[in-house]
Order: sequence, then C-alpha cells, then structure tokens
Amino acid sequence: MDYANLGLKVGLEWHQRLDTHKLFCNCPSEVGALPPSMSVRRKIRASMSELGEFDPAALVEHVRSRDFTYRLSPESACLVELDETPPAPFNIEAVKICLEIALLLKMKPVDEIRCMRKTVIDGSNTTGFQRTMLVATGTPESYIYADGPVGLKSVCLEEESAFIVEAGAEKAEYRLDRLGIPLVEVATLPHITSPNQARKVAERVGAIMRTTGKVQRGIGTIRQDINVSIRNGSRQEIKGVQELELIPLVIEREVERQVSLLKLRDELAKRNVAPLESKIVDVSNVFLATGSKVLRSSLEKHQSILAAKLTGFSGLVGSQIQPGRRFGTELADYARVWGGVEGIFHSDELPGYGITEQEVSKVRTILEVQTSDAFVLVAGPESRARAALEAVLRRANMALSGVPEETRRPLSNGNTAYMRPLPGAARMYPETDIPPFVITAELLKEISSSLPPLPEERLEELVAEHGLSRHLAEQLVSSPMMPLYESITSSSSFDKTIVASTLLNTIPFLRREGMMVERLDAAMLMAVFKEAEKLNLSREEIEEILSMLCREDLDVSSATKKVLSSRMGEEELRKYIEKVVEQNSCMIAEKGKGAIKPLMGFVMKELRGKASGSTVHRILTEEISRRLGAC
Amino acid sequence: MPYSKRVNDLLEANGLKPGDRILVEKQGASYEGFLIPREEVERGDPDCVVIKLDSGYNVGVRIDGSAVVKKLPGSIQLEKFSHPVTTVQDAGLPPISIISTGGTISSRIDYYTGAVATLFSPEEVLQGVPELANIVRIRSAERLFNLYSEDLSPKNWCRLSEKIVAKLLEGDSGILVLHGTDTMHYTAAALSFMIRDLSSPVVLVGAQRSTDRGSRDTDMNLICSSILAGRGEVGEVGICMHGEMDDSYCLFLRGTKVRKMHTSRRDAFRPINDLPIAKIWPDGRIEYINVSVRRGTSKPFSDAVFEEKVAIVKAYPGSPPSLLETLLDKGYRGIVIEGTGLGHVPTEPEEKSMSWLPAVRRGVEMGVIFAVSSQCLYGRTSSQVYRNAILLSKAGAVYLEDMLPEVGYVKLGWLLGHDYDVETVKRLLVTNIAGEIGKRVRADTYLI
Repeated sequence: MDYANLGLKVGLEWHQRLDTHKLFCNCPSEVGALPPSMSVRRKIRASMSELGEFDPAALVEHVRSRDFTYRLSPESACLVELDETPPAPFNIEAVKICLEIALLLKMKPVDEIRCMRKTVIDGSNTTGFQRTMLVATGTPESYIYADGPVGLKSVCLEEESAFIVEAGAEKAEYRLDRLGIPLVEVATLPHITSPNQARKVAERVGAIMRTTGKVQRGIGTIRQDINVSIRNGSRQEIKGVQELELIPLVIEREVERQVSLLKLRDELAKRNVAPLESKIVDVSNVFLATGSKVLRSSLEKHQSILAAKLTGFSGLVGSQIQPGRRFGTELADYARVWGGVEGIFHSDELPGYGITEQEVSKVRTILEVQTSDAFVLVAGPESRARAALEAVLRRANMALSGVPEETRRPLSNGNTAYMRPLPGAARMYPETDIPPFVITAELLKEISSSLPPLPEERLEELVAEHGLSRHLAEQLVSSPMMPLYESITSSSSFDKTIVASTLLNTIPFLRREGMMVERLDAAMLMAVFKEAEKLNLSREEIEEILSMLCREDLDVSSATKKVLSSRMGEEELRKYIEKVVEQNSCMIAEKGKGAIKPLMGFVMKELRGKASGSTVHRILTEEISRRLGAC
Repeated sequence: MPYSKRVNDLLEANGLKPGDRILVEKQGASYEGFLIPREEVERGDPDCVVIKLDSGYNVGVRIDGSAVVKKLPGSIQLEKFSHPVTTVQDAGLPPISIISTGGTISSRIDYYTGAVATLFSPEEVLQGVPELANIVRIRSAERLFNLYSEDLSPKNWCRLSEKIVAKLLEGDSGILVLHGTDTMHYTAAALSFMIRDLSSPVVLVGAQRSTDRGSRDTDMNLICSSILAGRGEVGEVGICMHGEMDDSYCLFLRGTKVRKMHTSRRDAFRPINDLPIAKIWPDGRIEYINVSVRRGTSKPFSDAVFEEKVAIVKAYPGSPPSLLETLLDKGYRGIVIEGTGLGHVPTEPEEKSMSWLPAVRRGVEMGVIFAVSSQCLYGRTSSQVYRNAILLSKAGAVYLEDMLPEVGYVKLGWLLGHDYDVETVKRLLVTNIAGEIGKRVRADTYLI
C-alpha cells in the first residue's frame, strides 16, 4: 500500500493508569482484586440545557435512560465513586507524575490547572460526567522522532471510568473499582503517515511513560486509541488497542477498509443508486414454517421478522471490505448497536442458514426486489427490529457518499467493528467542586531537577553496567517489561542476561504455546528469580518452572522442587550423553572440543530442564574428551 | 471578574471582555479560545487568565512579561440559558402549586463560567422533568425567596406558612416547596406547627446533587413529590427525598420526625423515632406506612408566629453554665437543652461551679422555659431514671419526650410567639400537636 499516496494520517492517544491512589479520593487504584459486595441502581438523566433543544413530545423518551447497576467492594470504591459525596481535592502525586511525563516529552505545562466535567451519558461514570484536566500543551519543540517528527498535542490527567460488566438495550452493569483511577492521557497531532511509524511512536511514548517508574504495569493498564483517515475517507477513532503489536495491523486493515468503502461508493455511483427509502415490511408470515432455527425461535417468542430493500446493492452487501469482514458485517454492527438485535440476514448470503430459496423468493416478491437489489432481514421484538433496520438503511445510505466518521473497536485480528458515531465536541464545563491548581515555578523546578533518565540513557547503562547485549538492551528499554526487570535485578544478583531474555523472549514464547502467562504476576516472577539465584538454575529450568506455574496451581517453591525432582540422576544422564556422543561421533571427530557448544545446546533442549546446565556441561565435556582421547 | 488589577488593565487595554476570543502566546506555547471570567470567590492565581480552548478544556495562563495577548474576532454569549418551550398542561390532572425558597434544587449553572443562577418558572421545572406533565397540573410556581437554607430565619418560615395556606385555599390538591437541604427539617417542623387544620399534603423537596449532572437526584425527588402532592391520601407536612442510594423510591417523612443525617448522601433524610409516612415509587405506586392525618376537606389557616429569643444549647463534658447565663442576660425566653443520654446536663461535677442547675433555677425564676431533649437524637428522654434528671426536672425544666432537639426549638419558639402564660406553654410543649411526640417507643425505628 502506498500510504503517502493515499494521504494516510494517523494520530495516537494513550491512556495510561498511574501508580498512585485514586484521583479524587483515597481509595486504592486496584482493579479486580476484591469481589463486589454492594450494589446500587441508578438512572442517568439528560442535561438540562440540552433539553431546551428538544421538542416536548420527544422529551420523555429522551430523558428516559437505561437502568444502571453499579457493583462495588467498599475497600476499593467509596461514596465519591458512588457520587454520594463531593470529590476530594485531586491527588497531587498524580499531577506530579503527569508533569514528569510532560517534561520528558518536552511539552509546556499550563500555569493553572482547571478541572472540567465532560458529559458522559452511557453510565460509565456515576455522576454523568468524567472529570478531566489539561496539564500540558505541545510546542514546536514537543515531538517524537520516529521516521520523521511526530508532534505532540497535549497531556491531560483524568479519571478512569467504571468497568463494564454487561451492557444491553435496557440496562447495563458496571464495577466501580476502576472508576477514579488516575489516567495520564497523551495525544499526538495527526502527523503519523505509516503503520510502522505508528508502532515506533507508540513504543517510544510508552517507554518514556514507563521510565518514570510511576505508571501501573500489567494488562489493561494502558490503552491506545488510534485516529485514522485517508484522503477522501474520513476520520475513525479506534478505541482501546491494548497490544503494541496490533497497532500497525489495525492501521493497515483500517486503510484497507476505507479504500474498499470508497470503491463501494464508486460502484454504487456507477450503478446510479439513489438514496434508499425507509420502507420496512413485516414478513413474519413468510417464515411461519421455516427451518431456520433463529427465525423460528423469534417467532415462538412472538417477535417479528422485518425486511427492507436495499435498491441497487445486489452483490455489494457481501463484498469484502477487510479480510473476513464484509459490508454486511458493518450493517450487522449497526443493527446490533442501534436495535440491540443479534444480527441480520442479507440476500447476498441467502439461501442459507436454514432459509430456503422459496422463502427468499417470497420476500423478494413482497419487497418488489429486482435482480440488481438486495434485501436485509432482522428478527426481534418489533420496535427493536425496526430500530435495527432503520440503522441498517441509514448506514447503507452513508455508503453512497463514502466513509462515515465512526468510533470503532479493535478485534484481535486487526479488523475493527463499529461502536458508535464519532462524538461531537463533548460538553465540557468547569468542575466547581475542585479549586484551580497553580503550577508554581518551585514545583516545576522540583520535578525537572529529579527527572528519571530517558530510555536511551538507560540503554547505555544496561549495556555498560548490566552486561546486556545491545540488541537485548534495545528490546528491553522499549518493553513494558523494563520496570519489572529493574525490580528483579535490583534485588538479586542472578544472571541479568537470563532475566532479560526470560522476560522478553521466554514469556511471549510460552504465550504463543497457549500457556496462561497472565498467572505469572510480578511477585511470582521475582520469587522465581530468587530461587534461580539460590539454586543456580539454568535458563531451561526457569522456562520449565514458568511453564509449570502457568499450568498448575502451585507456589513458586513447590514448582521449583517439582521441576528439579524430575531431574535426571547422574548415571542416567551419563548414559544419555554417551548415546548422544555416539550419535554425533563424526561431528566430534571434525570439530573436536568445538562440538561441545552445539551439543550442549542440543542436549539442554532435549532434556528440558531435567538436568542443570553445569552438570550437563561437565559430563559432556568428559565424554567428548574421552572420545577424542580414544581416537 | 476578579482578575488582578494588572491583568484587568491589560485586558481592557486590548479591548477584551469575557466572552471575547483571545490569543495568548507565551514561551513557545499558544493558547487560543474564549476569555472566561474568574470565579467570584478568590481561588488560584488572579494573574492567570482563564481561556476556554476549542477542545473544550479551560486553562489558566499566567500573564507575565513573557506573555503576548491579542484580541481575535468572534465572541460567545456567556450565561445564556435556553428558553423553555411552553407546554400545555393536562386539566384533568390534580392541580398543585410550587413554591421555591432557593437551594441547590432551584439552581442551575452556566456551562461556561460554572456560575450558579436560579431558575424558576413552571415551564422551566417541566423542562427539566417532563414526566411531571403526566402527573400533575402545575397551577402556579413562585419564587418566594432565593436563599441557601442555612441563611433562612423563622421570619421566612412565617411567610412561607402564609403563602402555602393562601395557595391551598385557592384550590390546590397539594403544595411542593423547593428548599435547600441543610435546614429543610427545621422548616418542615415549623410548617407542621404553623399550618393548622391541614388536610392536604405539603411536600418539601430538595436536591443533594447539583442539577447540572446526569446523576441528579432532583428529578426522581420531584416526580415522587408530585405524585404525593397530587393524589396522596395524606394531610400532613413532610419531606420527600430518596429513601436509599439507589434511584428506586422516595420516602415521605413526617415534618416533625425527620432530620438530615448525612452531609451528602442522597438518602440523607431519615425518620427519627418514627416510621416513614409513605413510600413512593416514580412509576406512581404509593405504599402508606404510617399516616396520622388523612386527606380531608378542612380549610387550613396559618398560625405563623415565632419568638426569636429562643436558643439551642448543647451540653458536653466541661460545658460551662455561662452558656446559659449569657442567654439569660440577653433576655432569652426559651432554651432548648440538647442533653446527654436520657437528657442530662452537668449537675454534680467535681468543680461545683460547673453545675448547670443554679443557672436553670435562676432562669426558671425569671420565667424562662427550659426544654430538655437528647443529643442522641434516637430514643426517649426521661426525667425519672437518674437523680440528675430528677433534679433538673424539679428545677423546672420540661422533658421533651422523644422530640428532636431541632423540633423542640421550633415548637418552643412557636409556642412562645403566642400570648400564652408559662404554664400553658409548658403544658403544650408535652402535648402532641403535629406528630412530634410518639405515643409508643417502637422497636423498629432505630437507624432506619
């Protein structure tokens, strides 16, 4: 793909949790540690001033909101999160961490921080707004250099939202342990022009945030939002990309999607397709004796099956816009979001799914579908099925003009799915319960005089003082594993190269093998390396222990014992090595003592931790020497 | 707008006023947006101009030697409230009147400055809570005063009582009083005594959360209050607020048996030594639990008087009798004592001069009425159990049964506002007039 030619523009935004207590109260910033023992049910009402813009008939419907249930443990959420008491003045530690990050990024802190309320009505904030504040802005000096300069726009400090447990058309459930955790939000300008550049920028900014040592570690503690547009396409906000590796893929797929949608627009123009009429017909009668399980079960629940014609769309609904996703998938997303239905059926994939040719034919007749037309079927409670089809028609109409602006969520394969329309400028107004915070010259001096070293400075340190190879050190400083590496190596004198390569290579390897590496938390890893230091474990033994910890519910000490106890006895080992030496006699004759290294590698791999490296080396050397002596 | 003089002068020199578009360039950074005034009460740095950036964020930029300020074309109108749409009200629904005294429930904020302004017309109330149009017909809505409830005085209670009676006589099914929550229970008690022969619901309602936020408790409070005011089978004064933290139901709590028990929770108002009168759900259901006076046809009248020289004094270890002496010297006619436990004051402390008894005796001789309540709030006082209480009672103090100290204060002030002799006042203090004295000591009314 020629991204430059396509006019690709990408902006990145990071939301990183800070390692300090909550922003507006003293609750700990911990997610998922405690089971919820309380729950409170609420409704969120529409904003008063916005109501002035609606006509009275619509008002009642507009103000009616879903039922929200908020679950909490009183240990990790308090009356502040329940919106039952005013917020405390914000956590100064959190401000300082943000200022540190801003200064490391060469951005300009504001003189007076003013906390704002940003209206949020989906229930993810109990108050109906998110508290957020601007801490620093970009200047011409604020940029990340990666294949060219990428300007930085802003650093904000805000509260994390509640954790969504379940969401439906009528109600949603949230957990409050996450609400109020401080987040630093860093945003770039849309200067990124290639997927690879995006990855480099993300790596760099992540590394800079982590170098403070004061951001949270682990899955879910950082979320990346990607804004993508191409010329003639439109800006998409892709929210919540968690893995660094996924970023370039998401961008590539999004470009593909926009290019495909533009092709779709052109094809529709060629076919002279006009804006679709909003005509929805009840076709339930066609399916009274249907073999389709989905449709039959709907009818049994006294729901409706509705259909709408997509004039001129024949063959296009089934056209691919991303690998594994068709235009029909986009329509289905709209149906799900706006109607709360499970999905849709469309004519490009019928007959199928238990729906027969005769049934298709009948629907065609009712809708007056020509060969150049397509149609869509939705099953569900009447009003929801109708809302779903209206959304489908809306989306189909948008295809005539190109790519609608949307907020989308990433899928694990790099594709994205529609979440909601791109929001307009959110209403933000002053949070008057929090006084303005003046950033004094003294505070700035205090922070700038104790800034942590930048990743590249740490790199030199790792090579010079830790003895890591430059390659390994480079990987480490940009990795989320860096802070853990520092914790481990500062409290143990175990081989640092093994620590680094275990964290950077072994753990991802185990993940790829399907192991539950999520079980390996920081405390466990530290304990493993303590054992390693005590017992002089080999790299392979460590891998075995980690693998066992992923598979079995053991503590580190028991897992270590288990792995070591399945070690081979010396006699058995010697017999095995004798065989290996026998099998490799030619290589040994050729390389002499030089055969030890490759054979060491081979034997250790085969034994998988059943013997310690030093023992194997000793025996192998003895056997090889014996053989050489014999020749 | 409280900018420092220096900054004010600079803005004026550039022809800048709040709402104008401004650009400030400083040390490489540039801030462009609309100029916002600083808050009235001094906080932060008055040398910082507040700018609303196009992103929506407000930011404070210190104007010092390095800052360059420019006025740009364009401006926004601050403190512009949208005009409510006029609505047709359903003549078939029960008529109520709304009277506003102020408080959070009566206010809304300007989205730019955060400044608080009061709203107030029936259309504005309906605009915020359109469901009311299906529940009641708002016959009239008036702002009687606009005060935070900590600023109210008994004079305000008297005016309110008269206004409510006047409205009821015009034919309302019930009255809604919008009120600040801090002293809403004082007003509720006052109205309970002042409005005589009441036979319709008078419902006081407030808001614990600011009305700008989506989580505001106002709306459900107003909906439930209107349901009760319109068709509740009750002829009493009470407070109607959230019954629990959930947006599930409201409780209608007797005006003489209710207190604000939490600084901020939406279910802050609890019944003390009594059950709620009723439980109301926003879908219209009413569950009657403990009604004393049913809705009827009697015509109410206002007996709005109050003797302002009445005080509440709290007894505590080390509290000196001079607290009472000072009041006596200032000509106070009634003192409600918030005693400890069953209703005790320092009586026989080691330091004899710290006993309250001599001051009480002296006051009684002067014709001052001492009424004893308990700072425990829950439970009944007793002048019979302990020697100290017996002595206090013998000295002439009246024990207020299970009345709240605040209610005792309101009742005593109201009684003394009449032309009654001391013995009559003392007798009426312990006569149940508006549900302020419980007949029984129920086992199920503690911490509910």
